Amino acid sequence: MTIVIPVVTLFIYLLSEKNMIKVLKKFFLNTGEMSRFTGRYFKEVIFPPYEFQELLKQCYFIGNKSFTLVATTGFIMGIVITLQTRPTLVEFGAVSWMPAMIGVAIVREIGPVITALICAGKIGSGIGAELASMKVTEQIDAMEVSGTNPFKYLVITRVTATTLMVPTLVIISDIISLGGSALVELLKGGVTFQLYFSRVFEYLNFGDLLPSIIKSFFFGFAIGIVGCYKGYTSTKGTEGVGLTANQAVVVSSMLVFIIDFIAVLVSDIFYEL
Amino acid sequence: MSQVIDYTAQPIIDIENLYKSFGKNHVLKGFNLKVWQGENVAVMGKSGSGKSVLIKCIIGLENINNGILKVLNSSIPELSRKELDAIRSDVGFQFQGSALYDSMTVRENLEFPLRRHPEKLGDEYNPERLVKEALEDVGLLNAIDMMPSELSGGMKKRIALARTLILRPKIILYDEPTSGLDPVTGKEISMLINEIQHRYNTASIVITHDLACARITSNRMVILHDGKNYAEANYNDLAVNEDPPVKAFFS
Repeated sequence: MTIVIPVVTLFIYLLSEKNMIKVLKKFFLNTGEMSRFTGRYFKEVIFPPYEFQELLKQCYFIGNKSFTLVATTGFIMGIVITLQTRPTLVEFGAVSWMPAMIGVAIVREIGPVITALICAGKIGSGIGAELASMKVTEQIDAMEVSGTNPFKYLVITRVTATTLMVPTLVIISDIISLGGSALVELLKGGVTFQLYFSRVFEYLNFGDLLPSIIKSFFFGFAIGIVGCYKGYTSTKGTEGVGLTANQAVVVSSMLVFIIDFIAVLVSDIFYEL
Repeated sequence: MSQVIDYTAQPIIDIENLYKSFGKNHVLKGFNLKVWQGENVAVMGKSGSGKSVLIKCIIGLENINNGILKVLNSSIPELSRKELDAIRSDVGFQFQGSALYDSMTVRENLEFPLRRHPEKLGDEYNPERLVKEALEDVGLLNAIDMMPSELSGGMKKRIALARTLILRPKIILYDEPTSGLDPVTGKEISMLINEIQHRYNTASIVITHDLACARITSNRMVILHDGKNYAEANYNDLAVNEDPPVKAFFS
């Protein structure tokens, strides 16, 4: 009862016409602004000057600095999934299917989504907070008055770097996850690494790998563009920096699931063909 | 030695009847100002009176609503992005909070504008030498490899000034150059502004609340009141002005 009352109150509040209009208006305004920001990215990414040096620096920061976290999480993920699945497969006498099952699960779904969520938390919040703080301290204006296009220098480089590095991290995470899983099989079932990986590649095909890589590019783009948009348009001074980091994580995580949902629907169509 | 200013020449900054609003908040309401080569003009006004907005309009960070705004004979509102960038290499802007790039060392901060405009310095283009020269000008050569987080407030202002100076601008816009500094450091910065004016013959607009800074740096002072240039004279004349809005700054 104590929980029901506030939930009902919140529901009524949200449903009241005035608030509903306010919430919808804010949602559409934000979506419109973000679409315009994304459009600007595609418009400006084509034309010179190109900031290659800054792009490489961002690739290094985004890729290298997230590597340990992604690798550790991937390794643990591989071990945990294998340990959790093993008893059931043993019960049905299907333990030989373990490499195929884990391989498909990790490559097609778990690897990309978990890696993207980790990147949304680490990279998305980092980009959002960095750009918001640069905005508050007038560093973006300083760039502008020194004759540099800050959108090109800050946004294009970061979004391109996340778009390129998230798929790379996904591939690394997939390999390490499978390594973790293989280790469990070696210790519990005496299956060699060679046998484990040959079984994995026996069942994995191009149709599993390609959609996973393609959707990882979209995940990376979404994480970069949301972090940059939130940071670049941040207001409310120093208070806005924390808020921006928070919003960047929430929105990009949500987008990861939405993109994943769409990717699964689209690849499902291709599987049926 | 006082600066020789040719008031019969074409002004380097020419502002006529400038209007700027943010929604219903009308900040500048017909502001006029002319600044000549080699002249320092201090602009004083209450907080929120539009002083910073004025210099942001001059550099093209804010769009104006109406009026004439010419810098180095170019009408700022009519310039393309490329033309504006070219003008910006001749106009230095000193931000209130220094605005040094946190992720870069002092050297990289100074090299940043330099590498964007190598054509500006022609044969003189030599980042290493120019960075050292600019740091020597502000007396902070020893800070060349430090990060901005390691610098004090006064040092940050000096480094920001060095970054502004490195492209040898014809105009420098100072936004509260002495704010947040103790009186001694504030005076040092004001003296440095004068030194730069004399050495490079720059024209400057100094936005300030600090009377000492205005007294030391200005050849002419403008009181910005109610969106207009309410009073305009040198420091000594304004200091004895009995008009209440002017007197309020000197009492």
